[in-house]
Amino acid sequence: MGTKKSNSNAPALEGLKIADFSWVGAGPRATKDLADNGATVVKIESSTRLDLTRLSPPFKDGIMDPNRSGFFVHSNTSKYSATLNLKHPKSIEVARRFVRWADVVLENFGYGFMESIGLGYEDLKEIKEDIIMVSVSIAGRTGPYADFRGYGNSAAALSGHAHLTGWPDRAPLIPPIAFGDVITPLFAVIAVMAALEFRKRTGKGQYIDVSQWETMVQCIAPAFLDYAANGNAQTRMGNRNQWAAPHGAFPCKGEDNWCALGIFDERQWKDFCSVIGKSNMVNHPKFKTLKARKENEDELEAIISDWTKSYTKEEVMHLMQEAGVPSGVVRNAKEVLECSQLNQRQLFVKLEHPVIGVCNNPSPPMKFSRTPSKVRPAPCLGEHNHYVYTRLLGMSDDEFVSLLNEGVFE
Amino acid sequence: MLDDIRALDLTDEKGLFCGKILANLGVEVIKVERPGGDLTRMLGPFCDGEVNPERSLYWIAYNGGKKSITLDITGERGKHYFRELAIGADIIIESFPPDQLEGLGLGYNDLSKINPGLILVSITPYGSTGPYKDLKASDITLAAMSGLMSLTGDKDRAPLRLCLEQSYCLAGTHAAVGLLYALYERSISGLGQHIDVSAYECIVLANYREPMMWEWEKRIANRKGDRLFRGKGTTKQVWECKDGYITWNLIDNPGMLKNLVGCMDEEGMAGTLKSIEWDKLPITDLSTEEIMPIEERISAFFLKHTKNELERISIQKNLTLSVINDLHDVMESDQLMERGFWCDQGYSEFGKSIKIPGFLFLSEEAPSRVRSKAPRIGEHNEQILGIELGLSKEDMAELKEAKVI
Repeated sequence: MGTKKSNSNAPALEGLKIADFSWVGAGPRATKDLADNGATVVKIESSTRLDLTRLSPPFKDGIMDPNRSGFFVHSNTSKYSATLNLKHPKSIEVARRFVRWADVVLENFGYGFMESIGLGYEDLKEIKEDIIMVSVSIAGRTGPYADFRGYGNSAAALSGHAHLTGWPDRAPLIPPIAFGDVITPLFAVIAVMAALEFRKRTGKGQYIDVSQWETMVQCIAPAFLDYAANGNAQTRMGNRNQWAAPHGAFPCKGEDNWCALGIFDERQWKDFCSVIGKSNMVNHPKFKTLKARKENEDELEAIISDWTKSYTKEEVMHLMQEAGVPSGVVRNAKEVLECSQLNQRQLFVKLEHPVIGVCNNPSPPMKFSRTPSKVRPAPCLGEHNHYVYTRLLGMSDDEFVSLLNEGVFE
Repeated sequence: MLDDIRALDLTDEKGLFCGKILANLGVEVIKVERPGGDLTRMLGPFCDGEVNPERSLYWIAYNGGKKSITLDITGERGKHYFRELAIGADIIIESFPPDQLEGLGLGYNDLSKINPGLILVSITPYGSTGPYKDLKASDITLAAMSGLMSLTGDKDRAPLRLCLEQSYCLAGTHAAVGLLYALYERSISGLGQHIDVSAYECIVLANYREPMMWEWEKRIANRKGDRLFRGKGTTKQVWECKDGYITWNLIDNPGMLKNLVGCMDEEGMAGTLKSIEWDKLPITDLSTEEIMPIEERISAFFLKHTKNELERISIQKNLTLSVINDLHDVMESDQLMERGFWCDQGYSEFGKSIKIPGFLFLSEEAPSRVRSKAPRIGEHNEQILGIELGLSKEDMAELKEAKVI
């Protein structure tokens, strides 16, 4: 399986081979993580049907070009790119060679697409019996929603996340990120790794069907248990938390500045009251217990806001931290990128991309003591065609050139 | 899939999800609780609202499939037994403040000496190193620091966090990924290692667009309710319908837009939209002011129909809208039922059975379904401390008396 030598400092997955047919969000983020940790990931894409993220802003110098998208760079680091026009009649034989080469095939096309081009799991199994195939979709590949077509918000809507986000007196809210594209790729990676272990033990491959909807339900499981056991159908409650009070973001000095706080136990409550100079509140019947604080939460929040408004957000956080009270300022993207913690731990690594030049690239948020991840720049479209087809798939130069001339690699 | 791998789970709410994922994969996960039970057992909601460490639904949700022992690892005798368990373990998952395990003499460097194959993952708010490592945090403070809250919510009110505790879910999931990588590598090198996971870094990465927009375009986005940036203007994401809400976006998809206007026209509601040639009107070139009158007409159409009607129309006409399900809708959904997603677990002690989310993903070969109910406090003391470590009934009674177990 692996070619890794023991005791080296190479990333953990060196030697693992992934044929990556995925595009847009949920698939590529899974294979990015595998690639950053040493797997050989070949992104199989085509100029005739571009990965939509290659056309997503921001673009280097504002020029829209498949090799200039920052959005693409952020979800495709460390991969090889090989172009293959899956509509070309000769492409299927090349695709089959990828399957023979790979340990894992990953895809997130629309329902039935892989089958329609002769690359469904049954086809793959005939090519390589122990192949592992992982499909990522909004609702899963079976059931009445098997062919459901959706986009970023769909899984947030279907899973209950949207219903639980927002203010109780207003409509549900979908944050401007596709959380399904964040959490589901991790589940796809877990599926890949578990299937590899299973293959090692049994010699068997398998087909794995990962649904954004289901993985997002897993992330709010306690709310479903509350409904199943108690019939309590939770709904959105702003920043409040049934089991902590105060719990929210409070206004600070200046315009639109906020500091978040959460008080989870009586010790924190006592320390908190002393920070805001209201030790008399600690045992006040209106606020003494969590239950009392929940009942008088509007009043409690008003008292806290009066206090926080006289300090900057940093001052509020600092005073709270000094007393050991959990707190954090609401920061914008600029403040995040300048964060000393992130910079010291190198969550974003500066790399030179052949077209874009030097830019930040996100690295995996797991730090391995012995096998650190190693992030390489995202590939340009078809950048590694020659290497992938001749070295990895073993084509002769003649065959490579002839297929190239026939337009198979477009 | 990972039967015969053993993990010791020392985590609190920041890391419970990691062990739960591993348990679904077949790992034997032993929750090591302090005598009297984990503090996270006091997190609600509770079954029938009864505050009791054996009735926390929060705890049950994230500990299904695990075993439980009680052990005070801060005292010398507890440490002794913990070391014995660590010798036989493949994985340890912990979420103590940085350096706390080291202080007890149970850090990675101590334990790897007695078990070189051990993989230990530490889940902390900010990571085990760096200037923030000792800051106090909770999910909402991490969401605030990540930049995500500044994007979420309405302009006239406070910034909002994502629902429930997504920084912890992300941290637990990343930790599980890290452990699986390390196990894969160990099968080749024979060696374990330490993995350091920062919940803050996990949720910063969930804010995947804005740090890049600042770096590349020096643009700072602020929260603007349900409106999403799309080219020059913004489009509405959440729409009220007759009996709830749906999500749909005005995007550059002329065929879909023609279909929608066709549906509206059948009910005499298309008005001026009928005359728009969508293929000549790129939505991304429109300003928010130009987009809003179009959305107003569409809004009237959605408001006239129920969410189920709209879903049906969407499937027929490929409108790519989704119903915003409430929790009842999700639990009753045909899709999840037909896939057998829910797992009914009998809790006779509560006099009821509880439906919990079942699998991580679907596979015929290797199920990732939750295998057993969440354990009671110290339910497996006898099996693990008694039979495996060879403690007699008298030893156990004495240790219990001394509050070691």
